Amino acid sequence: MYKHHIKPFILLLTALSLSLAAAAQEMVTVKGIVYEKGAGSPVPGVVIFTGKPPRGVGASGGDGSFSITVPAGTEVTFQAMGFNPSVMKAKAGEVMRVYLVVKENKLTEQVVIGYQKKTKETVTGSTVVISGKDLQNVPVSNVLELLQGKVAGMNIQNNTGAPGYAGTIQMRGLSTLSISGSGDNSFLSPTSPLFVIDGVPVDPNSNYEYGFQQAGPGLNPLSLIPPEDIESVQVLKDAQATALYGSRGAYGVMLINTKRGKSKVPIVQYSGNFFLSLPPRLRNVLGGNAERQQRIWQVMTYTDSTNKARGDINATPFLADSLNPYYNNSTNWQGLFYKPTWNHTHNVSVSGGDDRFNYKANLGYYNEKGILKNTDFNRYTLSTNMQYRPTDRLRIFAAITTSLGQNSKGSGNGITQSDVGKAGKQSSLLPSPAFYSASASAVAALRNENINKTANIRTNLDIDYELIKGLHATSTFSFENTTGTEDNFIPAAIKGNSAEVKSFNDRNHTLYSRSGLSYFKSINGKHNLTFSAFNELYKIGYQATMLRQRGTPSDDIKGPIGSGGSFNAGGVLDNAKDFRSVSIAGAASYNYKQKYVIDLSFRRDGSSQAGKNTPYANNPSVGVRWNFNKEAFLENKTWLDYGSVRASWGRNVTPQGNIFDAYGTYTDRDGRRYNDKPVSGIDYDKLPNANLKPVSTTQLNGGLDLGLWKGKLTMEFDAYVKTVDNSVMEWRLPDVNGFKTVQTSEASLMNLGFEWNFTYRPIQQQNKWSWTIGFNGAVNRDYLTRLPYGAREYMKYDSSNRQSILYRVGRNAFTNVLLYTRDAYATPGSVQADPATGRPIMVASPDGKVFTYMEAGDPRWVDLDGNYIIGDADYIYAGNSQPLINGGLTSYLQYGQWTLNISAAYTAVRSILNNSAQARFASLSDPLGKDSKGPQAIVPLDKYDYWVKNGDRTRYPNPYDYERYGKIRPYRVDQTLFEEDGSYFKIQYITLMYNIPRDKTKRLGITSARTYVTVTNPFLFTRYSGPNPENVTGLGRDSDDGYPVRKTITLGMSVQF
Amino acid sequence: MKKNNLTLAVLAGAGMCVTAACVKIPADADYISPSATYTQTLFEPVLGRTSLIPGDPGTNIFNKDNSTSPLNFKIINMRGANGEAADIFNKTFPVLVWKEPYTGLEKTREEIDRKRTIEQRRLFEVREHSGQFVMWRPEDLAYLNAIKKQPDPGYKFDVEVSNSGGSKIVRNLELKPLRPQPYEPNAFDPVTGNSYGEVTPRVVSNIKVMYEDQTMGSMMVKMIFYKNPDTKGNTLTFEFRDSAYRPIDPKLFRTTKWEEMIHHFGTARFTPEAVTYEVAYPIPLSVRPTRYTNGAGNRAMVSFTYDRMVNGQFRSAAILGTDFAIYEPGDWKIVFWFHKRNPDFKDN
Repeated sequence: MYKHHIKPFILLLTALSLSLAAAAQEMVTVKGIVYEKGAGSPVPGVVIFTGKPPRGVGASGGDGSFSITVPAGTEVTFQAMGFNPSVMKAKAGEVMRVYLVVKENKLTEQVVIGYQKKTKETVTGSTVVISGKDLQNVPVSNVLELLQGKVAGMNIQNNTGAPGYAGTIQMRGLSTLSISGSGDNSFLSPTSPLFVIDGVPVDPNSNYEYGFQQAGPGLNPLSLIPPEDIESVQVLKDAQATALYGSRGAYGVMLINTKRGKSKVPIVQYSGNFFLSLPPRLRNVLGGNAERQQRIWQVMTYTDSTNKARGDINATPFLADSLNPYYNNSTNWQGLFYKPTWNHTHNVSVSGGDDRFNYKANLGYYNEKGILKNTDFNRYTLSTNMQYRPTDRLRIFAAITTSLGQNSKGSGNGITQSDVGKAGKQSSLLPSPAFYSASASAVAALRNENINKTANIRTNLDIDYELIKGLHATSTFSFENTTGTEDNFIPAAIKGNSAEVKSFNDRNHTLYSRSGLSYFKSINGKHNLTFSAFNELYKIGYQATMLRQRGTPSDDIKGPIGSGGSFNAGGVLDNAKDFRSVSIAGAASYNYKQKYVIDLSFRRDGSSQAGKNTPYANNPSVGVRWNFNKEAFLENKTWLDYGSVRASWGRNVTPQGNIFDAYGTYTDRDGRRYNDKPVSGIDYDKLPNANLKPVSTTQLNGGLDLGLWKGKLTMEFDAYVKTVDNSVMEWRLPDVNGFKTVQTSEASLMNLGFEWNFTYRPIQQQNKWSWTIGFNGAVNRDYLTRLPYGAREYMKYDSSNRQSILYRVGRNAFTNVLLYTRDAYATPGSVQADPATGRPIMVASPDGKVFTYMEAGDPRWVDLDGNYIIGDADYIYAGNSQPLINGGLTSYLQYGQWTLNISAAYTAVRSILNNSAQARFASLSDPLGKDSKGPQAIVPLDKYDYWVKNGDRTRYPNPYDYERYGKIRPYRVDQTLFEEDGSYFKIQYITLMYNIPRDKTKRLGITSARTYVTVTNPFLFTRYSGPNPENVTGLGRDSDDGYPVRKTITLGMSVQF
Repeated sequence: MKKNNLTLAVLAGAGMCVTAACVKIPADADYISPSATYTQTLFEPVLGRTSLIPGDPGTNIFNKDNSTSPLNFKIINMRGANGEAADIFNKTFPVLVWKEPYTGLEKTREEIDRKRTIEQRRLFEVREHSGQFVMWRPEDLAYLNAIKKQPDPGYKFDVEVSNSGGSKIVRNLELKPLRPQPYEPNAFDPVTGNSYGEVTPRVVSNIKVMYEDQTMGSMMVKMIFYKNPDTKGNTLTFEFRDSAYRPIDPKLFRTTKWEEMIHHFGTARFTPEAVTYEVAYPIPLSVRPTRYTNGAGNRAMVSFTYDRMVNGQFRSAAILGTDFAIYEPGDWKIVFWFHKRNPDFKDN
């Protein structure tokens, strides 16, 4: 921006210098190009100085080229905003290549706080800016995947490989206590930060609930933005920074700015990637005869009587009838579903313009076929924006973004693929599927036709008018419309001889308006004051409808759907939404010589989702900053580039739950009538909560920023206390009440955390080599501080696999509740005995009515209550599913035209329930294949240490004793045996990039070109025994049905004309 | 310079204070419900045997009402029903406890003895975390004389229940021991100790009365338990007597699976008058179903069988069987006395 301001001035200088140069002797004309070091892109508008005192002799053009006439051998200085100056000697006849290094002073970065641009120097909150350049070389469907490990305190877990879906994202620890679903499908209510895309807030948390939402495409809104179009991503972490986004900013705010035109000469840029997606290593299974022999051996060995064993085997055709072609197979079921795929992306952007008028148009295409068959994601985007500034006082910015996402979920729900999970576990003895299959799930996964479309249009208009000097009136208006459709066809072969067509569509619109006044006044350049006030309005509407027809005439007729009364179902879904919110806000900021800064803000937010008695929330914030490097005693210290101390306190809210939680739902009592009149009444399942409040986070943040030794080392530290109040929880009501549950907003939790971010440049910048290492991370500890109605403990029972979750005041928010497994009983004598009765310790059945004696080889569970019965009272409060530490590591090494970029992320101290390992052991519990799902694949257990014979001291109990398996359940999931440390360190990607020298491409009219190879997810270091410690739910459950994370190998290029 | 350092220190100090003021994490304490209590308040264990209360694993006599496990239980203030001191329950006595589980497969008495050991315990204990009660059998039964038995109103006690969230006291639980009954089944009145009626076997089936064309009912057989007061062995002898109290040769029960009855060591010793087993007491050793016990595992099960031809036409299988338990070690004898008529063992 600044470059354009000075351009006319430069032209004048150039003209001046040229006239002066005519008088001098030995003048030479020097030509060359100015590049940005690392990126290899030309830098326009670089001012060229020479002599003492320096005078301007020219400037680079839109393609970075320059031509100046100076005395031979003089030193020429190239200088541009945001870059370190570069000095070179002028030589005649040579094409000079000038590389400018980006100035690494975080304090002069431009940031946006509360819809206002500021330099970071005057910001009291905690923010991080990531340049779009860091996001270009890796093809991803969702840019969040690349932000992992880039921002201290922002915990991103890419826990699904499903193309188009996003992982979980948490800012500064936990922000909710709300859990939905049970068993493997239980998930934490999403608490993504609010995305503000080019000034327009987009809520990522509703209707995109990790794709768990049963119907609809479920794509994450960020998946619809091509990473190539992103100029920068700015993350606002603390309450002061997010204060003015307050009505939805409680979970943090992420500002995403798309590119704009800034070159006078129009730039056309193309970038394309071809990438190969590879499935991760699949688990080993026993195949064919090995599996049969294993089963027969197990039956023969672990049955009391050989006669019974023989009888059992003979009664089991797939074991006995080995020559029958139906059973004589070695099918690789996993291989049917997981395949490497070829994919590509293309992006073209045209941009240009100057300060008065600039424009950009970006056209993007992304295609990714999932590594799981029958899943894919295609994105088509067209976005344009333009800024027009007819006078210095009026600025108009307008943008239109359209995007179409098309994805296929197969037969799963985007995140989990239970059919694949089931079918992939079939016994290898069964024949592979053709039209008929031994496994209905396999056919479901392969032949189910699922097409989803998400069409999104976002328009916004930004007007800024300066009424009098310093007083601006601004208005932003945006409208966003998203339509999602899902068409699903299930052929008759897998749906009980009756094909099913399902059609879903939803509409979501967001209307947003913000208007306000802001006033800036500087007194003597010392006292700088800013005041602003604005109001904000939201209207969000959502409605979904669905149609289902069973029994179409044949598998070839998939629509249009005719009538078929009794097989027809459909209507409006119950998740409709009509949300309004209104806010007023005011802010004041004062700084003295940019040395002492104080920010104050206050906002009052009302939303239609809050209870009747509590519609409004007041959210103040205050922040102070001291740039101590500007103090007289430090001003002349060369080792200190900058140093500042920040502190802030503030509160933010985000509406939660839905309007039905606050006002209840009324039903027609199933169409019953009273006095022959239809009746209606309140739904007794949920008590309306008139006091439902929006979730409110209060943060106290302290920070220290240091820059040392001319950019060699920069450090940022933040410590925070984040209190989340009014968190919604479903609370069971006593059965004397007429209602079953209520959504209360009376729970609170607290996060204590510390974040660090180091950037170190061991090699001096002038060198041909340059190397930048970044290391960031955060320690976050959460505590539950309050439960509704003064309770101290509350158990969220898990009815499906008994992995309950405990909420307990004073402890981390979610505690796994499990049996504590020490090891396996080595010998019969080591089994505990009840000293009074002499009987061995017993295991209670789930209903607590049948008791089974333990033997050698059974798991040694701790009998917590000492009654020599392992039962409900013996569950201990085990690990925490939320990670304690996470962060990232980046290295950026450059030599000449070559760049090697490595990015890594880590997560440490987290408990994962390895339900997938449990399933491996459990596969041995059924050698006769009596399971209702049919015989399951058998996984070799070589790498586990399990009990086989008396005297074995092992961690894992005897997996073969199948006759007693159902009674003892030695491989149940609800035990600490499968609670593992989920710490990991992974290399996210490695990029090797080469900038093709300009002289080689000039003939083709190309101003810059680069090509690169990127490998994503190449290495993962972990002690976790499951496949991938990241590929687990937000509650730390690893399930077989998850969508695995792919590896990719990319060949990409970017060309600029 | 100095002033600035001071400012810095003051600021840092202030920052810490503010942080400390805001970071108030509530204690991570257990929850104990005010309504947690025992659902059974009267305990009437029979002395002279080790009883676990409740004996049935599926029964829970403490309703913890969602209190955090594990709870700590402690008997306090053990006293007589009228408030007098009850010192005997504060003293420890040698009792026999299991160290390793009884399986029913032990081959020698030594193997059983290795699994059991003598420990010093209070006679009436509450299990520390489960709240179950145990009435122990002291090795020296003479100590039981100091305990007040029914019909005496017995004792009262309180149990303190606690966890890190607090504690509560469940008051006035009643312990009213019953006098020892060394064997089951018996005909003692549990309160008075007086004997009434007779003990009969559980199964008397198809045993033909000699010279009469009818079979015996269980009322026609008496069971007599007898412990030799002079010896200190560990044997169990079965005797069968006819109506004149003359011995019947046990071998006459010729289809009896002698070696599969009664957990014994070595082989059964036969005399023309009796059969004797080397055993370990109590019988059954544990509350665990084995091949030697009934289904519940709390009584040993024996059945003496024979068969005879009836009218040269068919073979009739006769059974004399019973469930029983003996709680005191010693040389015990169980006599089955066909006190009314004699059984017929001969083919016809």
